[in-house]
Amino acid sequence: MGTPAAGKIPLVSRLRRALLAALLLSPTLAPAAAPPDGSPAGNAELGKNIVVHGTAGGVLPCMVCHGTDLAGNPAIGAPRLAGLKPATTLAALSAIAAGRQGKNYVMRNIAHALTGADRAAIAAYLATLGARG
Amino acid sequence: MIARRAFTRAGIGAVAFLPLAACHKDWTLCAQDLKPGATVADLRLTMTEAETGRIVTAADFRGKVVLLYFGYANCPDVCPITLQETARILGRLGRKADQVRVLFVTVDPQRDTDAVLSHYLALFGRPEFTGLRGTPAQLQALAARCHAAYAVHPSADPARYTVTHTAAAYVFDRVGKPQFICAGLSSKTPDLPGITNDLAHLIG
Ligand code: HEC
Repeated sequence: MGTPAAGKIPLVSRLRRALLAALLLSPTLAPAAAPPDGSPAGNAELGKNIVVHGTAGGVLPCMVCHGTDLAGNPAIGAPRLAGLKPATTLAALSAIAAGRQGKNYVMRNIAHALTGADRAAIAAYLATLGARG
Repeated sequence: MIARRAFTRAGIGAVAFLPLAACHKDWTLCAQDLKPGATVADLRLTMTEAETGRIVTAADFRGKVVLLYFGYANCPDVCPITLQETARILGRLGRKADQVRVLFVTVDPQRDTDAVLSHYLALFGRPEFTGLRGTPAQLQALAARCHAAYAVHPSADPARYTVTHTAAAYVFDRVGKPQFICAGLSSKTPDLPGITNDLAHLIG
């Protein structure tokens, strides 16, 4: 069952893919599956690109609200993203997309618009950044 | 269409004698773009350009179609959405986009220093975007010419620092005459083809 979902994630070594497949509970959970610490499943380069430039589909660059250092912007109510663990990022994005967390409608639309691969990539990238500035 | 063509043909003789100043033909604005009527005066301003620190005036943008917007970098919703949609419209314009300047005038110059403003705008990846920062008097003068409203209520607590502003974008032709007001850029369904078309007509 894990194969089609894992196939969507680029640049994953065969070993990691096998590991990931083992972790998957169901295909629908695939994008939100938390990879083991230190081996993010998403493509961090792609994640960085979305965070800095947004997506071609019109998702805003995350830095617009979370700050160019991703340390958060209290004036907007946007929390720190740098250093978030992948599982935290993925859980927060799911909760925001589902309307269970947050009150900024733009953030909600963004969480909704991001694909599973986008989310995994972003989660991988944020985890590469320092947790404290 | 037919009626218009007949009209055009009949009018050709007269048109030939008109001064060249009226260089763009009439067209029908899309529903989200509104005629400015008498509410917007010709483009006139003196401000600091955030990217360069230079003092600029309307003369610096003469020859370009100008889209002017009042906003601030700590804006949680309408400003970034407007800038993003504007960036997409410029993308649709293709090579014609270099005939457009997008002037983002901060209504919160206290927090939006030149560096903050220029870094913020750079995130949208469009060379046509320019940040403008004025003294309170310069800002007030420009806003008054557009009938744009804004208010800043500073607070030491960033979550309570509030800023309000008119969310429309004001479009001027190459000689600084107001042509239309974009009211739909931050709406749920901005009419990107329609607004692009209106700008394309001004670019010619
Ligand atoms: C328009 C401003 C805005 C933009 C752009 C934006 N965010 Fe947010 N984000 C917020 C706000 C505000 C919150 C706080 C929750 C709320 O009120 O919705 C938030 C919360 C979050 C959270 C939850 C963090 C936590 O610890 O709970 C994550 C993760 C997040 N954003 C990721 C992103 C990503 C990834 C992007 C870019 C693709 C992005 N945001 C772009 C405003 C924004």
